[in-house]
Amino acid sequence: MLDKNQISRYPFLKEAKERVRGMNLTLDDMLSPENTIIQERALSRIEEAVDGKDIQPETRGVGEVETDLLSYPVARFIVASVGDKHLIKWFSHHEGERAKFFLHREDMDTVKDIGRELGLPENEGPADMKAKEGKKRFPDVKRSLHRERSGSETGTIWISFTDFLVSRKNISGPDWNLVNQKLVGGLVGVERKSYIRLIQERAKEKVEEGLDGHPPIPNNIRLKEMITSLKLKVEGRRKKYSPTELGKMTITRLPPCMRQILGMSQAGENIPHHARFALVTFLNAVGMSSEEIFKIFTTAPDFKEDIVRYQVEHITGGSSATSYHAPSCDTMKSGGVCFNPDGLCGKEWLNTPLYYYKIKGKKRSTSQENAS
Amino acid sequence: MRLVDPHMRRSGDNEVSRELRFMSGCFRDHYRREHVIPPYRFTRREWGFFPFGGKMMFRHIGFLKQEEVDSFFRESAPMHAYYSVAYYGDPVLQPMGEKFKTWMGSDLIFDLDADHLPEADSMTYPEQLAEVKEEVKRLLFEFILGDLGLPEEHTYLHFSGGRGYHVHVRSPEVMTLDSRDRRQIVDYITGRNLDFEVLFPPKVKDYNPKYHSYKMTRNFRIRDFGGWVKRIYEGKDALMKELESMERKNQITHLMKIASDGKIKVGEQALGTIVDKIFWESKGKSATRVNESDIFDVFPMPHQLETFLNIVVAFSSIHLKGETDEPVTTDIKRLIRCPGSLHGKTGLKVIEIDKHSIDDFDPLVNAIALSDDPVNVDVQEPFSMSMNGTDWNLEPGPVTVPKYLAYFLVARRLALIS
Ligand code: SF4
Repeated sequence: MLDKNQISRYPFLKEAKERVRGMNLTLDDMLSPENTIIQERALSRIEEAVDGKDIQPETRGVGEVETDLLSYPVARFIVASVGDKHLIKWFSHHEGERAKFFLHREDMDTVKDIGRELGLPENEGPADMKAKEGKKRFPDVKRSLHRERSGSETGTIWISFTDFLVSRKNISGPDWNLVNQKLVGGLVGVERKSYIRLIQERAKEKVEEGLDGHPPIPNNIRLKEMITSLKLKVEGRRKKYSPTELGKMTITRLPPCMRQILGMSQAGENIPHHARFALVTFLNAVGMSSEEIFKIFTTAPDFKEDIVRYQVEHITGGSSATSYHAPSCDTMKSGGVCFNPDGLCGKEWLNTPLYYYKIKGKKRSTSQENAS
Repeated sequence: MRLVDPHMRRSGDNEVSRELRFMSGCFRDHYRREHVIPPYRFTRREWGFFPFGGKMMFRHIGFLKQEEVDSFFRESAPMHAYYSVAYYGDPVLQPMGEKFKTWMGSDLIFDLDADHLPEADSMTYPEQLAEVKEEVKRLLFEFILGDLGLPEEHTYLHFSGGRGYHVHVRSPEVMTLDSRDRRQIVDYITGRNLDFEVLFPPKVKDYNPKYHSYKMTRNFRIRDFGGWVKRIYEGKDALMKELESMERKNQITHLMKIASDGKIKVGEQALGTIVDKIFWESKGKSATRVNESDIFDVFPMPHQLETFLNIVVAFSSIHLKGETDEPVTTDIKRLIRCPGSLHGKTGLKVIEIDKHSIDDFDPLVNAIALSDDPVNVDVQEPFSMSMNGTDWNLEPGPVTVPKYLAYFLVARRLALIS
């Protein structure tokens, strides 16, 4: 069971929703002038997301737990009313980060409870594994005492491999490939830290659910003000870095994989690291400057200006001795980012997205010659 | 004698060849006698058919009742019949993009086919079948029911009617996995993207509390690690056992073959160094260490260890059909051959096999569906194969054979109807 404080940290859980319902407040109530404090909190929640701020530890006085809890549904309502797809991504990403921040500070049983509700239930470990763990730990009395106190803080958590797959989708890196997991009888064994990382993904999805609903907006002046100011703020972030033009690159020549990754980045989706890597090296190879490339990623929900700038420059060789090559089609395929390959992709000799770009260029120029 | 393409030989402009007429007649007779039992939730699936003498597949077909399926097969007797692994709200909707908007989930399919075996070309048909059978057993018991722990009652094994086997998994938890999730499963089975850094992280060895001294090593974390760590560990043991009794020269050839099957680029010299390090330089001491799993200390150069591990992986993984170029498992919209139908290139039936008696299953006996009525054919090429328990050794020229064999010969363009 979660206490009041904990519930307010994970406002997307069923328990939190029930508690809010139990307070018998209507949307109108929450938007009324008496509750400005809730509205302010909701607004700053969203603004933090737009600014990509780090999560702050709670410093809360009496009554503020309720404010915090109530600010979540209000913030959701405002985000949905603004109806901007970038804002939705930024907001849900930020709420996911927030959940992770607090989860790291919970004991294991709480983490598991929350995991279970978000579709990542713990399973009983595979029989032979348990026997081995038991044997290893039994003689160590001190350690087992410690474990009793803090829950199985050091133990492995076993989750079903399909839950694992669905949750890891947007996390990249070799550590997250199924092939590198402890996989026994359909269960993947993960450590606490990875378990929390997976829960964060689920939380993010849960937050995102239903935000694209375009609710009818009540005639409330305060609400309308907030919506307008947020729209400006969102525009501000977008404009500050907007990918004005794609320089020397010709969109129509892009291979389908790059088109998809580019589209996802511009739509503010969080794309896996290796997809981003592929796009950057590719665009660099077709002659875009790192400044132009940088602008593409400014709508990503986890956008942090200095980090992205560093990454892009690192990959394109601006800030390091090595510059990286664009990946081959094989690499793209095994990374699961060879999106919608078309007829040209099906050609045996087509082994890299760059080649696709080159061929398309040739075709175009010859057809232009023919036309003129 | 020149081979005549039966599908091309025409006696008149609008007339089909005798062979084609014979073949489609065989299927017509069969489907009149035997019903095709429609698959699970068939009304939600898209169907596709390839007619005899046709040039393309007819897709986007749907059936609402079992009788419709039945009468379709009876009347059309298609050369090839397929249905979608996907379930759709509206399976006949076109274009595909529109239909896919009503996607409800897809069976998880594995396709093991001889044409993907590294040496398929040099093998006879029965040899290919036997080889694929060994792979499918491992796929099924080690991976699908083993590591992946998928429920046996939802897992179906079928002979494909051609040169391989299909495994269909229909449990709820896999239905909604998307193509990226399925790619992860394929990578797991084929051992692609294994990362030795992740699997074997460095650890402290020989720690001496008195002096606080220690060495760093990597080791098999066999105790608490299943998955590929365990498989590499066991694969290494099996490989070592095979190598132990060999001469140096044979060891190299053996490793070379595994490497090339696994598309690992390595020269003979490099393999020579590897076997020397294990077996010949230290009078077998290293071999003991490899056996005891301390393989990380045997090779002085990291790339030697990596090559050795890669070979062990190739030795322990499975070759799925179209691993890279034609991903069957990851394609959630794919059409798959319909169980119960006949395969137009062999006349054999796509049938379900009891997973536990796969050893007793002989496609060239158990998948025969056509009758043994005598048919006169004109053999074009020497042919020998055992079918339905009889060894056939045919020389070019006229001969009378049972219908199922006649079909097999004609369809593979080894004989004409006389
Ligand atoms: S085949 Fe190559 S170029 Fe085409 S989509 Fe895939 S990765 Fe891109």
